[in-house]
Amino acid sequence: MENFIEKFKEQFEDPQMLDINHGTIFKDLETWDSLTAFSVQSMIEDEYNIIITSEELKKCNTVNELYQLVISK
Amino acid sequence: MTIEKSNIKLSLIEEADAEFILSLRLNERLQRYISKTGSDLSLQIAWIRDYKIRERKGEEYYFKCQDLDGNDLGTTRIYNFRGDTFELGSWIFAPSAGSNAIIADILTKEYAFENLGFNFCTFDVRKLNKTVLNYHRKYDPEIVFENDLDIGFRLSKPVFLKKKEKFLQLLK
Repeated sequence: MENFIEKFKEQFEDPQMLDINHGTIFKDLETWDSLTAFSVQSMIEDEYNIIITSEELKKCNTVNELYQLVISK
Repeated sequence: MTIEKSNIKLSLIEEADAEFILSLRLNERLQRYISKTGSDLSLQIAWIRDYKIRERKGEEYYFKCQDLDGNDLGTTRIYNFRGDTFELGSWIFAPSAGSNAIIADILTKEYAFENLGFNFCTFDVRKLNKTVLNYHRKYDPEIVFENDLDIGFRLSKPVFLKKKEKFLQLLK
């Protein structure tokens, strides 16, 4: 999970400014946008060889929910 | 010419789009990493009038992107045609466009590679524009120059086509 959070954080414009943990509601972060969302999806595909579609990502609110979706696949 | 696919429509810019283009280019958040634009609408209209001459000569294509309800979302442009290479630019979208901005980018590249027959695409990205830089790097483009301000990339048609399929799958 820690490794996932670190990789997730790296997809943002300002990772060093962010305090992200498993309970973070990532869509509420100021720099969350469609390009960041795409980077997260692409990171998951590269790192875990799993496709998370935009529709699936939209249903997740917290980092943990997204992580659980990844490991459930 | 209109490209309609994946729930968006790309149509060639007209003079009537000048106000929309200005609204994007003068948006405080969106203008951070693009060349400065004046607020004079008549200058924007004049620029489009000149562009339409280049468009008629087949030298450049500047698209406005809309959703299927006709809402204006953003712009994208292919220009500076040199042999088998085109340049990509003017990729500016309202935040409300969401992932349609990425689909528009993919469709624009697809049009240039598949319909116009280009083999390479070049583009420059401001180093500080980290989100856009991250996005473009997902295509694994070749770096052709780097200075204090920008990084210049070159993307080949085969690499684009390979990535395109995967990216469209993610965007579903």
